[in-house]
Amino acid sequence: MEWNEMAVAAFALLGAGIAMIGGGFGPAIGQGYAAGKGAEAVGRQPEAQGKIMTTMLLGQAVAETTGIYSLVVALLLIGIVNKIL
Amino acid sequence: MLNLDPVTFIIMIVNLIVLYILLRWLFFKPVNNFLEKRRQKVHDDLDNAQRDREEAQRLLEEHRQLVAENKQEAAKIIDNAVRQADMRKEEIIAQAGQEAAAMLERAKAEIAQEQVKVMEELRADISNLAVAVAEKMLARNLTAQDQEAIFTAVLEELESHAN
Amino acid sequence: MSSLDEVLEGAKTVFTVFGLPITESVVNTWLVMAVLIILAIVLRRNLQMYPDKRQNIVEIIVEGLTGLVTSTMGPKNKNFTPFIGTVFLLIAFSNILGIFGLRSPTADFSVTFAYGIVTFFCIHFFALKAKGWSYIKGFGQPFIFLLPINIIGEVAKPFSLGMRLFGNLLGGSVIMAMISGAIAIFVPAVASIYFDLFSGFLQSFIFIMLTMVFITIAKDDDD
Repeated sequence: MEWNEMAVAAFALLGAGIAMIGGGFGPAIGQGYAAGKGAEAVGRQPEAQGKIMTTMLLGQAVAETTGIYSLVVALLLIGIVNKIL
Repeated sequence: MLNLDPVTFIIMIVNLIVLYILLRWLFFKPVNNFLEKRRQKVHDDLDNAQRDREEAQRLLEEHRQLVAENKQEAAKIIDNAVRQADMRKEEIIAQAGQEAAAMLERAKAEIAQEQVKVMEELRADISNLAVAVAEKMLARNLTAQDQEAIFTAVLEELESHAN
Repeated sequence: MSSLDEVLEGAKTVFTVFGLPITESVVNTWLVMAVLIILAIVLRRNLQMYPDKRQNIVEIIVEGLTGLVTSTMGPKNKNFTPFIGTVFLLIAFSNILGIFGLRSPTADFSVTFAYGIVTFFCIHFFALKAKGWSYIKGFGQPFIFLLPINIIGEVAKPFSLGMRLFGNLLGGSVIMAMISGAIAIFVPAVASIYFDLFSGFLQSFIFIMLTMVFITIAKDDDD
């Protein structure tokens, strides 16, 4: 394997890892915040638990999108590495 | 992996539409129709039950009213009878009192009459007797004048005695 | 369980018809469709006034979906239930396929993007039908300068719907492949319950929830 290719593979893997750091932090914090607010809301209004649950899951799903994007980017980068090696 | 495969893409769209049509035709429509039918039936049954209950309530109310009316009437009848009996009793008692009074009256009148009669008889007897006694004692016939005098005297004496 | 390389490689071509490659995803989707249609026919047979166990399942599925649709989209959009139910059942069963060691069709971007595109056309078709010309004018609101941003936001919807489902499923498959590569017994079974069953149901639920919300907002919002 060329040195060039090795460098590309190394940086691609590094990029995948960095992408997952960012993509892991953001959604994790956002989803945790949503879950906390959801728990608060259930504590305030236990009778509306079903609606709060649905809204919370929906919001978390939207917040998760950025994390999924970074996962896809990371997988693409790993795919490049697989193609090279 | 992330490259878009047009064949898969188009087949999946067709798949989804076909499955939608099939499931709607085979599953959702018949089940929904059935559920709707059952909902209608339950609704009708509940309506019927409600109507029957109202009817029963109405009948019960009617019967209750009837019984109450009958009771009232019976009470009235009994009341009337009692009142009539009372009246009749008063009447009978009053009549009896009247009769008794009349009887007493009559008896008293009879007694008075008898008394008068007896007194009259006695008076006649005594005067006759006195005359006879005086005749005998004198053993002779008195003049009419004497007779009259003696008679009057005796009568007066008797009268004062009698009173 | 397929190995990590197989998962990352993407769907293999099983056979070709007239030179068109038919991939594993399509074949697995046909399998899911066949299962769903057979289940539908078997479950729907002779419905009775006094339900038995089988009929209870049918009623729970149909009434649950109807309740979800009416509570999310409003009672006047009850007729969307068959479409939403079909999407839900198809995606849920596709996601669960991983538990049988088969490749989930939804871990293929071509598949999830197809579902997203169908949703996209649904959104705009019903919005145009309900609002007409004013719906198109609505893209220029509140300023005409926002027109490109609004259009990009609309075009992003099928991508984000497809990406979300695909990313979650592929992530789950990758992690499952890694776990089964590392430990062969017991642990993959437990992990499979979370990644295939729970996550699969949750993702299909989120997909139909977002679909319903998008359609309702585009169709019924007055502004």
